[in-house]
Amino acid sequence: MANWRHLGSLAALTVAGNFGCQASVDERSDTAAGATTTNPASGAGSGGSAGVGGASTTAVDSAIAQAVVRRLTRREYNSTLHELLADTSQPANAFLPDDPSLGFDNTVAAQTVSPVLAEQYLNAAEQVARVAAPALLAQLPCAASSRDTACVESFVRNFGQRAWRRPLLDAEVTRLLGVYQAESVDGGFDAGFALTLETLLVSAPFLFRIELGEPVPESPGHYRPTAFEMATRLSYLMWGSMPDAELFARAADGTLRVPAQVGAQAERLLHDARAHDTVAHFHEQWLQLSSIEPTHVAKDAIVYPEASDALLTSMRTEAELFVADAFWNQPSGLSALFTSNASFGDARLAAFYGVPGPTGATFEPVTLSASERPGLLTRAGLLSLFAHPDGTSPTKRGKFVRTRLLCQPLPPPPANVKAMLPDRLPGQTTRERVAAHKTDPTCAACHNLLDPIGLGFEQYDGLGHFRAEEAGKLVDASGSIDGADVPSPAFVGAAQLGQMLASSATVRSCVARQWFRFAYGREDVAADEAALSHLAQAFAESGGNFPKLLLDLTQMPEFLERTAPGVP
Amino acid sequence: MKPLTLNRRSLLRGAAGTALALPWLEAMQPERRGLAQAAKAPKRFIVFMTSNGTFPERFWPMLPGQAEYPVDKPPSSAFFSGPSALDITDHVMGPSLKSLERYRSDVTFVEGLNSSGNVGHAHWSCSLTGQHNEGGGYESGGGISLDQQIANHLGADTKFKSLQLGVLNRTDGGPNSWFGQKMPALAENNPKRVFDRVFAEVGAVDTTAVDRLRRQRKSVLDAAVGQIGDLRTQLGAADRAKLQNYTDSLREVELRLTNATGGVHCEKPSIETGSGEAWEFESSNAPLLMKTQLDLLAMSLACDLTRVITLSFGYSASSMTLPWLGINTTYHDGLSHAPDNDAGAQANLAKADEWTAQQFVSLIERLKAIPEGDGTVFDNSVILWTNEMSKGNSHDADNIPIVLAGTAQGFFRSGRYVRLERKGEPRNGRPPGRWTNDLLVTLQHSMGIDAPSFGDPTESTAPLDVLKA
Repeated sequence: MANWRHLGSLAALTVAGNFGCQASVDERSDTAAGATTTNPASGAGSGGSAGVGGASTTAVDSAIAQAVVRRLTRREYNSTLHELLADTSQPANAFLPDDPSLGFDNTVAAQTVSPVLAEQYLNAAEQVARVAAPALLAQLPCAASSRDTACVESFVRNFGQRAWRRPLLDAEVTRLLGVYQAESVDGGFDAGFALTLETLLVSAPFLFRIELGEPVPESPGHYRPTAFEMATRLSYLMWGSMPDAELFARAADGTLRVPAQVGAQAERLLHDARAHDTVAHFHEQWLQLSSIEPTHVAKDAIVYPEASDALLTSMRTEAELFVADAFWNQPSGLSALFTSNASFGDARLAAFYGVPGPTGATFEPVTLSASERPGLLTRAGLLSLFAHPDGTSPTKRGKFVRTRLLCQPLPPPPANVKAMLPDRLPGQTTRERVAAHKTDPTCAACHNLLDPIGLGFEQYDGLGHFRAEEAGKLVDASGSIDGADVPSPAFVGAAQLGQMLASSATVRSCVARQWFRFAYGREDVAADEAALSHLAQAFAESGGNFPKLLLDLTQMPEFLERTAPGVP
Repeated sequence: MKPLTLNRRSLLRGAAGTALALPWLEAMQPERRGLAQAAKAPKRFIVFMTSNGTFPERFWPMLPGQAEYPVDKPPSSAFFSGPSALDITDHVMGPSLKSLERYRSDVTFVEGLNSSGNVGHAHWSCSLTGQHNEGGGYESGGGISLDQQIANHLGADTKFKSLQLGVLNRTDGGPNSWFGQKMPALAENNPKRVFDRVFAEVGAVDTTAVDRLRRQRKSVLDAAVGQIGDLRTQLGAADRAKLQNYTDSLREVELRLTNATGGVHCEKPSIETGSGEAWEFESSNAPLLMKTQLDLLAMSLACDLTRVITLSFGYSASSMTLPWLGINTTYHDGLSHAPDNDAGAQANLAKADEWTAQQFVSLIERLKAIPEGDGTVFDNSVILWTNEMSKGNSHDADNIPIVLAGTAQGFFRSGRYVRLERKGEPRNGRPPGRWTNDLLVTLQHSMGIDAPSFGDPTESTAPLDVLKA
């Protein structure tokens, strides 16, 4: 268990008491600023390895010392183009996929641009500029007779400020006008204009969120993002897209230099459909909901004749709706996530669960069995995903709980591991088969972390049906979960497990950690433990309220501050 | 939906293995930079990666007179090549690889290599890097992969330094190719995108338009690179590194803007499709995806658009099924995780091996169909076919499947079944034997890179001289 994370110390919690307050912000950033000067290497974006232990809490790994240049993900690229140019072509769908390192597509340490991706950026910008240029040309405020460099300059300054999410420097304007001038010699005004537009979209300030920061005048030695950079931090965290007009206005008038105003804007952004999309995007990655689809889940038609792509799609929709409801509509969302039997279904899924109600393809609220279907863990989508084509997989189910809900990474398999299951014998239950993992020491090291949890799910078959028997024997659904900060590790059935997880401090901490990674685009390091404890503590005090957790992320020093510009 | 075909007016069409006339490739050679008329043809390096292991007893060749291993007999969990070395030419193809018989003189089996560093799934992303998997997503290659090392050596003058093609190759567990540590070179699974990218300029009638587009692109790229330069002094080291990476890639694109394509002698393939459905990431599309990617692979060699290509079929722990073979369970969970006594699953794994072998043969045939000099492109190539595991259901990392095709202009002596001696002490829980890195360094030598080791040097002891001519 050496690699497992643990909650921060009580000492760290005392720092957290003054949540969101400037005093605590300053206190924390003192440590951060000291860190950057003592260890220049700490910011090298090296936070990607999976097994960072919680043991050595040294300031050199300080949160605020991390790299801040973030590349737009494919989703962000599409959304940004949509906001900027009303472009609906979603060119990034054809880009090379983002690295799912840490389970999320936006991890800075994994964001590289290969020559292939650079080519894709160039081609997409060509296409988009070609399509968008005529409308933009028609909107130019200059008369047809004065379509000249000055006209393009005014476009570059105005449009450029939206595209690059900050005012352009004079040297940058000059360079862009150089592109226009060179091209317009042969190609004319329109061609020069289109190429300038293309250049804006291939340039780093469009594709990357580059921050230079500024000093905090009232607090010498401290730095924060500029107001425009803060607008960008907010819009990409909440919407996965560029700032809207209101955010740009609050950037231009400097309002976003005030943390409380940052919080107010975050709250405004939260009440927008784009925030719902972002939260759904978080869930489809954290809870692997996007994997509940046919190319990830294949079922043996002889064992599960009922399985179909349509049923799987319904299962996924249920999981998405249920999780979204817990997030947005339930004040104690964490508890609802693991214990609520209120769900959503269409006719197909209602028949699967054996509940009355929906008659068509539209999803409606349904009430499922309180004993068999409380919480996400008892629902067919995840149960099908974490299973074999012809049976259950206690290992996969246990791994999901261990890694995704407890945030406890697994050690690598031993060098001489053999992954083979023992021969299948007639009349044998899954529990009996996987027992071999316990007897073989090379397997046991890892499987003892997984199988005891997953065996508690044996009341649900590989498609997620509740079952009382397997292979003619009564199902034994006893399980055990250690390292989860629960009163007693033993449990019987996934329903009881859900109850335990709903009040587990380890789970709350893990939820905070997952959001931290997604929001800040990086692996948490040892020095982040204080901040994470702080976040988890506030999450506990809110009764497990998810929107509050998301807002809290915008009031952390990690969000409000940064290191000195140019510090190596 | 309209039938999908890759049309080439005069190229590669016809019976398998028939070399069709391609005079243009010859004709274009003198025009190429660095290719004087008298110079030798360039070497090519191709990797064919398959995944999730094999049914070993039916995969490896047999000794003359040896009986076929029954498909319904459980594979031996103790399957292990014998301690004694073997180097024969009168071997008999294993039941799964009978399709290779036609090219037996071109193909060499190398048995007895342990995967360097990694076992099981962890070897997938490191098969070509020879480094230790560092875990987690794309973090796991550990360094540059062999194909990229070779591409850096062979790829200066071509339009593309290398190509990474995939057939249902998901990014889970990392790619096979790496530009460097934490620099994944991801495969493109969609043939239409490969086509659009690779053949964009081939056969263009309006060369003025091509020249103009190149000029425009250069202007855009220069401005983008310049902009980053202005910012540089204001950024911290980590930020600078991120943007330097982007600058490097922009420059790489720019450098290749003007590299020659096949020129007027090279014919452009065309992909006809009524909709994009056939290119979607669906298991049932795999046969057509594979055929089309192989076509594009061959054509990009014929047009000398690149000299290094890695084609990855599936991925480690793949959840793809193989419905065109009547296999409706998943490659990994359904086949590679079944116990030895699950005869149906093991037979299906053997069937999957048969199919991948046929694709390998098809790749050989395509290269042999492209005339070059007195022979074909195949004579100037070596193809590495490997897999991240040996025995599927045990995820064994000892005795990794290695099949080589081609001699790389006579560097290798082909047509053999070579079993390497296993001697010495077990290391790190692994049986005695040579590491796959020893093969990687040998391949590196075959392409003209004279470096003493590849990958983790502690597991790269010496080249496999026995394979050389």
